[in-house]
Amino acid sequence: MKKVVVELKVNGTAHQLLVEPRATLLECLRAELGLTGAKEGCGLGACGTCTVLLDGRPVRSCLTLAVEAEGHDVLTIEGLAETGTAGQPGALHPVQEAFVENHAIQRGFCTPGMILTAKALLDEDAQPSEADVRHALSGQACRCTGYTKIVESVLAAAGKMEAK
Amino acid sequence: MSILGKSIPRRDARLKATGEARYTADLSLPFMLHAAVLRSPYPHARIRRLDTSKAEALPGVRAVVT
Repeated sequence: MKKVVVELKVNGTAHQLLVEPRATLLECLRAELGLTGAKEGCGLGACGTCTVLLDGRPVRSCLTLAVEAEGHDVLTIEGLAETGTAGQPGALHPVQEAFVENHAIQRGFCTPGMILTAKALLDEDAQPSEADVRHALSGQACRCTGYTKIVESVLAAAGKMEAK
Repeated sequence: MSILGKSIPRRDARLKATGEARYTADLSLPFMLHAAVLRSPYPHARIRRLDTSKAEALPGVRAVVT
């Protein structure tokens, strides 16, 4: 299959990628750019581990063709924390911090998708109710935690972001 | 004894929260081979014969393991 050029921004950096038209955004991120934070849990759009933000909105990158992302801004989990300087790791985003502090991470496979979806929620609704959080995360499956700590973390992150 | 009763984050929590943690499918090593599993499309079937010759003849196939 003849490859095409796709121009898109990933985590603030512009990229020109040569990909097959059938390549998914997920394949592109993982294989072309080495950004393995987005995972292929099911390949069907059911589990949410492939979730990235496209122009700030959560999308299933396993169901998005790379060519569809042309001209758009993609944010992956790797782009969320601030860049580190001089050997010091950058500051975590409040949602990332809250997940770490509130024990919302076990195996961690669902974590990138959860964090990005939570960030998109909080960017739109700074004070969601617990029901709002559960609704926003309803497309993200977690096999380990039972979701309780994840929901608590998102609510805690809302508090952190409000305080700023 | 000093950590008893304290709330301590997992050692790998930060790595997982930033996407830096590497899972098996995230690893890529030089000259790495990729394997695919062929499962029987028939339940409760008896395997009488295996002919792997066509699979082995495909370009890029290094081995067919049965």
